[in-house]
Amino acid sequence: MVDETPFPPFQVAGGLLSGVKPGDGDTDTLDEAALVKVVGGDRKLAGELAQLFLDDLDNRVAEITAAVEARQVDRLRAAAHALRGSAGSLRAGNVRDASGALESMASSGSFEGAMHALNALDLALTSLRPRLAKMTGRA
Amino acid sequence: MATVLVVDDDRVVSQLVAALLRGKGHKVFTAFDAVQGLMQAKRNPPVDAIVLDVNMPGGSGEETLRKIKMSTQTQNIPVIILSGSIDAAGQDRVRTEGAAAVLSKPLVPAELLAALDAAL
Repeated sequence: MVDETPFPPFQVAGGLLSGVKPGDGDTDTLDEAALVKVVGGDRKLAGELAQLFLDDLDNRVAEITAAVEARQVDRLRAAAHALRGSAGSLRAGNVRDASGALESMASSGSFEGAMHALNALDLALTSLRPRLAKMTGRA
Repeated sequence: MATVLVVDDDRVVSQLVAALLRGKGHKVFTAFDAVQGLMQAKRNPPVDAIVLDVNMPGGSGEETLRKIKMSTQTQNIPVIILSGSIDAAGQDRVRTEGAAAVLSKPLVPAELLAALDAAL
């Protein structure tokens, strides 16, 4: 049974994540200009990275969710760390921060607010997925 | 042109680093866990440099670094650590264990290229 104690909204890049419904150009969801700069202006490569991220995403989220439900801190820390790393590399700030919050929670050994943290991650991913899909040319 | 082995379980990071290095004319091999990384380092000589993640399945980057530095086949290969979570104590540790450079994620291309140039 997961602790569903209310948890204050996460402070993420650009503001509180709860209730945020970013638009297409929102850089906290995805700083596309920064990503394109990292890949030296190669938009095709940026699209390939976005596709790799999307390919792995469902498994990663399932692993995080399972770790929270099973209250397994090491499993959660590893899974959240992996997602944070990928999201950071893509310059997807809100997902990076939401998964970072889960990683911190696991590192502290506490599952207090875990469901809220998962919801925050889900919200961040809901905004990110279509942006990445657009970059892959499959939107 | 150098031959560089990139060891990172994150396919996004791995692809990004590989593309960056290939764009600079380097030959790149990739491995997605510590065991594969060690095998590749020994199987693909001469590897001129290794870019190594810290948190990976099959053994940590620190353990992998130690093994690279203990093997006569690989001990002279410069290793650049690329990590999303290494603290100051960890940085000191890997430098003591022989890392040529320690970089933080997210990757900053100019930092990696400068570290690689310095290591080669």
